[in-house]
Amino acid sequence: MLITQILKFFNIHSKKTSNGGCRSTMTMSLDIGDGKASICYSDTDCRMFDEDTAQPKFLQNFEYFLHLSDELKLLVLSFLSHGDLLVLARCCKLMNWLSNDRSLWLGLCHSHQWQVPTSVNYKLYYHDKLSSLKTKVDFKPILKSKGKLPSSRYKHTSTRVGDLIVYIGGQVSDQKRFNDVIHYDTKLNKFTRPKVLGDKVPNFSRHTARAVGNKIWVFGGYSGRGQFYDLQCYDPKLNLWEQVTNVTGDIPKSRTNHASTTWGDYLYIFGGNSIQQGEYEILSDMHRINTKTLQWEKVQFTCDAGDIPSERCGHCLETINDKIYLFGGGRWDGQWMKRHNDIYIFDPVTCHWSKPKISERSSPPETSTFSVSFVYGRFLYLFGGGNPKLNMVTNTLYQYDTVLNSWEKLNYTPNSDIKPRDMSAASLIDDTIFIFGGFAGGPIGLLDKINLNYRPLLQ
Amino acid sequence: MTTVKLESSDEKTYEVEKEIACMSVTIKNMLEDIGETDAAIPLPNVTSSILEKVLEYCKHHHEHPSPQQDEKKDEKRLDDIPPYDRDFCKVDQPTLFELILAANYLDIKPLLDVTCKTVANMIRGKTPEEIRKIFNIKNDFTPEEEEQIRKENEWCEDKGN
Repeated sequence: MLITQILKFFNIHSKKTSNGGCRSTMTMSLDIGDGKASICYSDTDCRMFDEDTAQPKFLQNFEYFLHLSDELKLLVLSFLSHGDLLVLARCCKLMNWLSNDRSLWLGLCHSHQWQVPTSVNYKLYYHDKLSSLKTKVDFKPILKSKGKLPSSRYKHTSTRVGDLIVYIGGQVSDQKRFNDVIHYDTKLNKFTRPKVLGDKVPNFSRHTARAVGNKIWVFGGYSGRGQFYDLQCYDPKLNLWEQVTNVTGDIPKSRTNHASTTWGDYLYIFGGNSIQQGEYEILSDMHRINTKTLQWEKVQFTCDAGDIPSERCGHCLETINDKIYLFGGGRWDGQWMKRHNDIYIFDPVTCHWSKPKISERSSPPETSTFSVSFVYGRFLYLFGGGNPKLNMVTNTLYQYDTVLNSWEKLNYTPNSDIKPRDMSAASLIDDTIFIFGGFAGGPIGLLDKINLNYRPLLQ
Repeated sequence: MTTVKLESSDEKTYEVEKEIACMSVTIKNMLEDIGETDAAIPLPNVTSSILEKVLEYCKHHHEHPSPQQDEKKDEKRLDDIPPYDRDFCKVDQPTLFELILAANYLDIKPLLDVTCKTVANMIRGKTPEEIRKIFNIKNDFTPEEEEQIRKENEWCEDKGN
């Protein structure tokens, strides 16, 4: 074996020289470790040759890498894709350290022309951005489940507590509204209708329901027959419904079509419609209640009036990384007088509203009112809602990047048959969005799953 | 035609066209600093064999300027190495190492990029075990650390560029 290799080696060597190589001094080395012979000339010709073809070839190994300065090591690594960097990280501690270098990930972000703020972890940022954009979103109707699906409805609420989604109320027409509380176990794909204890659940819709810990805080809503509602609380562990009347402080007006979100122990509400003494009003106030002390307070904004969102209903409110994001909505007065597709950011610490400068590379979503919203990592997602120009309900999924302040329209997998709608309700569990009901010319009774197919790393 | 003299670390002198020598930003800056001179510019970090290779590279690119050099210069691509450069980098380990150091010292960006790309190409699409072999590095992770690192970095199966 060894002799064959040596013979081959001399064979190549003679080929090379007969092809015109005439070097004064040569050293020869033979590495039979990997079965490849190589020739090294000590003069300027130090090319590598393939033993079979006698063509010049690339090096297979480069032990000298470790002797390069860190700066040069990083330069080599800067030519690698993210996938190769991730593999490299698993080689040894040094490579792990190098491959996590911020400059490499910033370079990768820039190769996609993603402007990145300096405050974030570029690697995690890169991951989230890439995977959220690359992913084709799967949309699947759930056709079979244990227990009966809720009946067709819209303007109900969908609230996640652990693996459970709790659907409350909603309506099938202006007159007919629901007082049911339906539990959906997402792991078992099972609907149950618990016997609700405590106070009577109102026949209502257009309320909001948000979880703080294991309890769901419900605010507002309308019966369709003159009755508005205030704060209520549902405990899905005990199946206990409670009208929360022992509240203090600056109590907000009863309302519908408002939006709510949570921040720590606080429940925040913004805007909506109210009718008091027969007077219809579109609201622009923000109130918050401490769910521990049950004290309401009207939030006093600390910014110029021009930065505060105008009065509106049918908007979305979500909390991401200690900031509250408000999207869309409009002025409804028998018809949409004005519809918004803008974003406002509220800082609950400083009580300051601001309007982000939307990245020039992104276009605002073609939806405005009664979209459903949910939060995944640093992204705000919107599904459906009313197109402000066409006055049609939509089935688009938009992603707002709260770090880049940019919008992306996401792509569904081909042949996804997604019913356009507004006034739907959705909850996110792991990387799956469960969307139930909504309105498209009439009430919808579909339960659909959207699988985002990735997990955000940047918190 | 203006020429300059360059002297390698082993005291061999090379007379080179100024324009070719000035593809090295380091030499260009030196010439600007010292002005017209007949004395050889010492390059104590570069041996004659490497300097010859570097000059060969510069000469080729001087004679064959690539047309869209500046376009997309920020784009880090591994598959855009021109044929001459590809063959140029088919050298043994010590030579490639010396070329990288020389390109860095002489500040010849195209040569530095192409030599570093050649190294990057070796580990492209490889497994951790293969990369360890290529660079002759030891796995110094404990099994727990290795598992942790694997989990942290398992988010991408796509090895594409």
